[in-house]
Amino acid sequence: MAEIVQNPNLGTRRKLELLLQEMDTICREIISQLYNSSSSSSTTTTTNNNSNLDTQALIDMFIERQNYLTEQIQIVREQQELERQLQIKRDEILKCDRALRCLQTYLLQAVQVLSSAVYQAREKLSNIRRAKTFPSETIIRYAHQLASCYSTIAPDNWQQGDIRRPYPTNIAMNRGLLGRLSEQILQQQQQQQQQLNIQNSTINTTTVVNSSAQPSTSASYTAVTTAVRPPKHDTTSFASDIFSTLNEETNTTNLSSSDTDSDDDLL
Amino acid sequence: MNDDLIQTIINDDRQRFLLDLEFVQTLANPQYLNFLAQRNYFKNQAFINYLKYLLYFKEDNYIKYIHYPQALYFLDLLQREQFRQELVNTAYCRQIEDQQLLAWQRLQRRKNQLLNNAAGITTTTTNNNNNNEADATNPQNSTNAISTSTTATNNTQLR
Repeated sequence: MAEIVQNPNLGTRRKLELLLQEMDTICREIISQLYNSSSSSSTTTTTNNNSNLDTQALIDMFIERQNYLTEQIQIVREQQELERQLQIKRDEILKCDRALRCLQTYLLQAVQVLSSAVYQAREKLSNIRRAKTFPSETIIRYAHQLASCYSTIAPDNWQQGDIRRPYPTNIAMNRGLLGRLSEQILQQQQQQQQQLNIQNSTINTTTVVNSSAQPSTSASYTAVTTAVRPPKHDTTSFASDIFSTLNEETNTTNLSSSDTDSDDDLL
Repeated sequence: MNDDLIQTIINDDRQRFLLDLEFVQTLANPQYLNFLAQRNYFKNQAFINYLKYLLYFKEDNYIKYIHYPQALYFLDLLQREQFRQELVNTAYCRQIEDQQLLAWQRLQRRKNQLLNNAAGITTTTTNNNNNNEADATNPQNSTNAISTSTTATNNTQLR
């Protein structure tokens, strides 16, 4: 029995079981011997002595096993304490695992954000390298120009029904060169029509319509139109506004020197 | 006589440039494009050549005169035959106009959003810098804020 108790490969539970089994069998053996000895009272003294010795040996064995049992129970208590400590450590490990996983997710998010930021920064740098350089004042002036006529971004107070648009509207187009050109052409056609009607009514069709109004210079052409009908619109087109303001700023022009004459023509 | 009037304008370089500038900017108006398509202007080879000629406005020293930059985008599209054919449909032009207006308003909303975010981020980063706690979340918040601000500025500049 001592080898069993001292065997490190057997578990405490198994040892306890074996001890209890042995104690159980020893108890049964003692009881059966006592019963046999009491029932056979007419036997010889030698057999009685032998049976007493057997009983004594059994009782010694029982006591030995009982001592082993108390030792094992002490060991069980120690092992329970160790198990408790182990469980505490396991819980701490779980907590640390959870914290690690949280930190790992934060790290992954940070990696994603940083990688996208780095990629965009790289794209920006490549754009900067490829770009043509302009003085910042030119860029700011152009940006102000675009923002002031709301061509790319809507005005803050824009509502449905507001006539402002990101493109030139009909009103602006009619005020421009093309609009006035077409108006003048229409007026000329009307004049021609009137003259034709007059000539048809008087039956003198020898004069050619275009002869009197044929412009040798641009100044004579404008004299005809101003005599017939003064321009009813504002005489600045949105294109000429743009051009004149930018000409003042840049002071360079690649165009011809007939500016003053053409201004008179427009008026 | 009408030809003479046109000739006087064409012979004057300034007038001709103003005419080109005006016309190229009117191309930003989808209703006008519909008008031109329905009167078969886009079937005239001379007109198509003129549209190709107007691409000179994309150069540096001419683009500074353009007030309506969407016109240049439409000019590029007008070089394609399929687009010119589609412009005859009024519904198509109306759709283009709707998208133009929606994009116009979206950029305005985005601008206001960025202005508000920039104002918000500057206040939160100053608060984080003044905070004396060594909490792990605080540097994370500031890095998130800084990263969103950089991506926001990147988005505006790349656009």
